[in-house]
Amino acid sequence: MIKYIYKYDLLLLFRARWIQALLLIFLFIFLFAGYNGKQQTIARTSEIEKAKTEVASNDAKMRMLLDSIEKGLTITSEPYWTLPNDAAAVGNYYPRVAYKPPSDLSFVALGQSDIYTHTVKPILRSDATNLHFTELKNSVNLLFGSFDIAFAIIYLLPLIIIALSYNILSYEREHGSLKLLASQPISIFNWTFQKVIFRYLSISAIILLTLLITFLVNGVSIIENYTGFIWLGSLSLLYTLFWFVVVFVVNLSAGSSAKNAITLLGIWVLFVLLIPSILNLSANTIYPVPSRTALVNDMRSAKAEASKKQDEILDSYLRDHPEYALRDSTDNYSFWHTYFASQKMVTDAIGPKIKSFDIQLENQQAWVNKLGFLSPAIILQRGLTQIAGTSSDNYSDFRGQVLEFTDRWRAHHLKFIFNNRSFTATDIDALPEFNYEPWAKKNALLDPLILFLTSVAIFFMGWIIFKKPSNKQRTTLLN
Amino acid sequence: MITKTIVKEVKEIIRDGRFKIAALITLLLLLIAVIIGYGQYHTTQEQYAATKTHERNIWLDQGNKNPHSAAHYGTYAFKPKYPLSLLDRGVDKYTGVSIYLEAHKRNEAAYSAAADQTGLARFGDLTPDFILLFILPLLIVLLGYNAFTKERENGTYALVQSQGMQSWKLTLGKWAGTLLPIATILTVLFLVAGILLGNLTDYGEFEWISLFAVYGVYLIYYIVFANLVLLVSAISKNSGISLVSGLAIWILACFAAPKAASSIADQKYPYPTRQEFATNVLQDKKEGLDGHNPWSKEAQLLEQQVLKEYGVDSVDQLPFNFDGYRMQKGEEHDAAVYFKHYDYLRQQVDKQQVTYRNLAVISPFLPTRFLSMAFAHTDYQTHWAFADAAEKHRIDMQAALNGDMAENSRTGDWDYPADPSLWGSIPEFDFEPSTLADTLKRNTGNLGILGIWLLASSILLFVSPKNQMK
Repeated sequence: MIKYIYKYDLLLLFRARWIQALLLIFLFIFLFAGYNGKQQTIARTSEIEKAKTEVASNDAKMRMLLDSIEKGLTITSEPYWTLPNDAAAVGNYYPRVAYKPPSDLSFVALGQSDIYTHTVKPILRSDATNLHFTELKNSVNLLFGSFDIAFAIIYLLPLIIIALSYNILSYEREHGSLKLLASQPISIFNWTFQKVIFRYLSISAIILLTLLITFLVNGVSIIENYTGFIWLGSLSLLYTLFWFVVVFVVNLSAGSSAKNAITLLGIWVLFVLLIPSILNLSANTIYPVPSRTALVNDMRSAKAEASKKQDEILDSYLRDHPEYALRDSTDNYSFWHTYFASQKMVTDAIGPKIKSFDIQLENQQAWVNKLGFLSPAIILQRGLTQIAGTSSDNYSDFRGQVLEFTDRWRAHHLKFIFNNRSFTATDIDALPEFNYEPWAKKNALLDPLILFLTSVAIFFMGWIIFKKPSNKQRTTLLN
Repeated sequence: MITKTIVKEVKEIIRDGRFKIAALITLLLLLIAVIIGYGQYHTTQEQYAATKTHERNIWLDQGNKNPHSAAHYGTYAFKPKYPLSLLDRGVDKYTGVSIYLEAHKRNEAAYSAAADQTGLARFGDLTPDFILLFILPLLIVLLGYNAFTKERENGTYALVQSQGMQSWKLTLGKWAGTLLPIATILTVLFLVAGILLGNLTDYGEFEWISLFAVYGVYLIYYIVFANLVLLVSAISKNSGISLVSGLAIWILACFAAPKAASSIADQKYPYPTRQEFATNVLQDKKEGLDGHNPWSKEAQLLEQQVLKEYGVDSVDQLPFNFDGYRMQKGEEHDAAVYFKHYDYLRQQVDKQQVTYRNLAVISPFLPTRFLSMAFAHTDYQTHWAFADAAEKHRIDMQAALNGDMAENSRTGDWDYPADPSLWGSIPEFDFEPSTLADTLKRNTGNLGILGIWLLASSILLFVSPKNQMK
């Protein structure tokens, strides 16, 4: 019997136009989505290249200026305070670029990449209060989000599955062929199961094929990115499995086609729209981020305080940092000495408050991670953005790396400034460089496992309900 | 006969358990959304008022200080929240809330809420606009998909016809029957919101007329959806197909089209990145007068020009502080550079807006979204207006501070302390959003497209042949 189901389904498959249509729809959606993702990745790469070229050309200029200065020439082409023999000038006007390069798989999910910047140039004056990590964007684009592969998989794929399979059993009944089917030596449960399995396998093949084509079209090597591809493939197929199991159980519930469709759609709305937004709301309510405008107030108060007590501040700063006290007898403290002393005071005063933003965000993330299993859509979004390196975790990690580099950059120049040491051409190569370390996820296997177990659980739930002797559905099916 | 049809349709809907559950859940969600939104609105407004006063006091309390030091110290412009943001948050989550106003530099609005949330925020928030824009149209699909198909499936169409019912009357009855429950939910929500907002005594910007405007926009949106769903029901072979087609329209209009439009608009007319923008600005700034650099070519040129104009041979003989004057000229150059670059952004936004408008042909969601945000003052245009007002305030502030320094001190006197009354003479930043009339004028395109949708879908529904129902 199973042989017949496969044989006729396969025959129907080739004769019915739906499979061709489906393949075309899939291809169109994925190619469009892949193209969008790829364009963003290309733009990011070129931005980083441009920034690097700029740094290189600035460095060449710095070398030239330093050569001239070291030869004793007077430079008039540049304002004196930007001349690179002063480390403060190097720190402020010859910054390095801290960047987060896209990975080959970034085109899969744009995630948070439209909100956050990928290149930051921390300067001597930079600190956690004045470095900005948000990107310049039309906020309407941010509101609507991008049409990327993640969107196609998370939102559209389940709907396509629902549209294809909401009436497997009800169709037979509505067309009067169910009784014929019931007279065959196969149980309705098994028959529906075989049908669903067959469709699951077909759709899985289509998904993999489409992903393969999307990779090829966008020039992303599968051999080089095989782990990423396997992750992407398995998450997509497990997500598909979840939805097919749901479709299967709803089909067994013996409703009419329309009732099935509405039930399935309700489930889709619940998992894809409602649970994520309710979870987000709960995260914001349980771990509210303090007010940013209040932070501005605190920062201003601290700055006002600092500017009133300039001299005392420098003294106490030097007590804490004897390494920065001038070693010569001139006592010639410059603008920068007082600047950093008061900057230190301001960051010390509001540092804990800035930290509280990060802590709350981490709490929110932990909360969301803990409860993410409530919706497969959340698991997928997290998984796909992590594959693409565009998840919130990736960006907060990048921010941490940039802030760490900013401290390193400042400390490097402070040694020159506070010792009244000139910056020379030989010091250029010793300037700190930013090296991006990609963020790696822990417990990566947990998410696919949750998806799989949820699917299995729902399947058995359906099985138990259907097989229960008291189940009236089996009889209603036939009447 | 029409009334009878309406009564029958509504009765059927009310007796339908599925609708009851769906409507109940929707109302519950709306209630949660409004209550949470109202609380948040209150706290934000309180914080806004407190922050604004605090910042103003800091500014006034500067004591004896050089005006240019005060200019560098700067002040902040905070973005106010408007009552109707309770119903539609628009792009508020993605725009910054405060702009630092300092000498020589136009800063971007900083601190967007989205940057302080997890990636989950991108799924959307449980706010009234989410339910109004996404969930209620879905309810319309569920209410109307079998309006015509069920008559055929139950064989009742012949019965109706035998009563001498004209096709348009039947259609009108079905149409009203589908819309009535939705219009009721909408009206209840807006009444509750109106009463809540009307009772806000301390923030007086709430206007009933704007609330009605938003109400009208959503009503038209739902009529368009009802038209489309009924049209599909009239021409579909059976209820199943009708439902799936209705859902396809919903998904296309509300999810796929906005995201596709966003991707296309962003690719066709991209913004420069923050770094690129900063680099371009810096490049242009370098090519002109730097108020802090008296040795540059441009500064020398300016000096000669001014000396010639006043017929003196050194800046010391000028009747004003030349440093202050040069500082102001430099400020004007910087402002022009910023104007040029922000104008470019503005043009990109306008072009992106055209892309959105063109794609509104496949989605009534788009004009509705834009109109609703515009009336609620949570659209991107309002944010731009706020940023432009802040920039104007910054320029005026710089002119006043530099002017004071030029007038009241001698060239070279960088220690000149201004009288503390100077700080009070600079007005507090204030921003008024556009009036309803201006908002309407700015959104004629969106109104036009929504109007076309209304007209076209109505005509299609009422003239479409329903002979398949025999």
